[in-house]
Amino acid sequence: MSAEELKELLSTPLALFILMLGASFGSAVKQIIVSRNAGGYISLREYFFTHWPETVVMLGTNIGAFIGLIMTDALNWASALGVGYAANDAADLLTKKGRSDSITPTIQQVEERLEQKKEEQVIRDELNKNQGGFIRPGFLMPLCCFLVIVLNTFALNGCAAFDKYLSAPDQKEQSFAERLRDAYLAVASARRVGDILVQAEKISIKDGRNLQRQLNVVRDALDVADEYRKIGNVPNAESKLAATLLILEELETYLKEQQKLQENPT
Amino acid sequence: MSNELIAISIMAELARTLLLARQQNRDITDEELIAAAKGIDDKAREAFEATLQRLENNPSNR
Repeated sequence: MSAEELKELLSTPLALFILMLGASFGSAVKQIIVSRNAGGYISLREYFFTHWPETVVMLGTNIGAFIGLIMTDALNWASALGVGYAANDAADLLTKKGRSDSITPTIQQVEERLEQKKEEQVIRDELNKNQGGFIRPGFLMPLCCFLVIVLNTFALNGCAAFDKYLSAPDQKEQSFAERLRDAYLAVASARRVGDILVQAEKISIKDGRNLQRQLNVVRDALDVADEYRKIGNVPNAESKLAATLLILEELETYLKEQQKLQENPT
Repeated sequence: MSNELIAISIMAELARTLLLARQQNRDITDEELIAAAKGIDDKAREAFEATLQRLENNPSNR
């Protein structure tokens, strides 16, 4: 299955409805986790089945919203996720003594949780002491930063940094504008060579016309690359320039061959 | 005309633009560099086009 087919399949109404229900389920899991962290306890079963009125409201809201989104042509990934998530949250407003009450921990549960946290902190401090203090947050943070910089510099850039330091000091990397300028000049050179060759009868008029046409295509592509450069779209500008350079190389190879033939007719 | 001579003539045209900017005591911008290169290509295109049309209209002139 291609990426396009998969994308199409995931954009079907059924897939988006499942996504809405998934978002509601995600909202439920989040509420349960928050409740447990605060000291409360509610199981998934209790959440969905003991408090079934909220579950029914959540499902009804999802179905209603799904129909509404289809009718208003607003059904998409973002709306499905947002509405699904909100549908579960909104169901908590149903009754005061319902699910929302169960997920809110009691004062006693909160106190127990705080006590437990204190004990956990004591154990953590003890473990840190036993570790000998080698890696502490104050050391770990600069160490991580250093590793990220090193990885980024040497691994992601393909050790380009080494080349930079090892190469001749006056060797300067060309900017995009300079490379674009050179490409325009290369097109102009190719035209002049073509002009000379066609006048010297080393290439036919038809070949000359074809060369001019192809160079016009390259020129147009370079103009597009320049437009991308002007609006700051560097990736598109780079890819356009790279594509034109390939065509230019082929044309120049052809011209050089013709020129050799002109210089050494035998 | 060899490749080298063509390259020299083209670079000379570009250098002229650079010199003009220097005479005005200012750095040349990317825009000016690219515009100059475009201008050089425009001239080369016109010249090549003129040659092609001349030969297409009267091939015996070759």
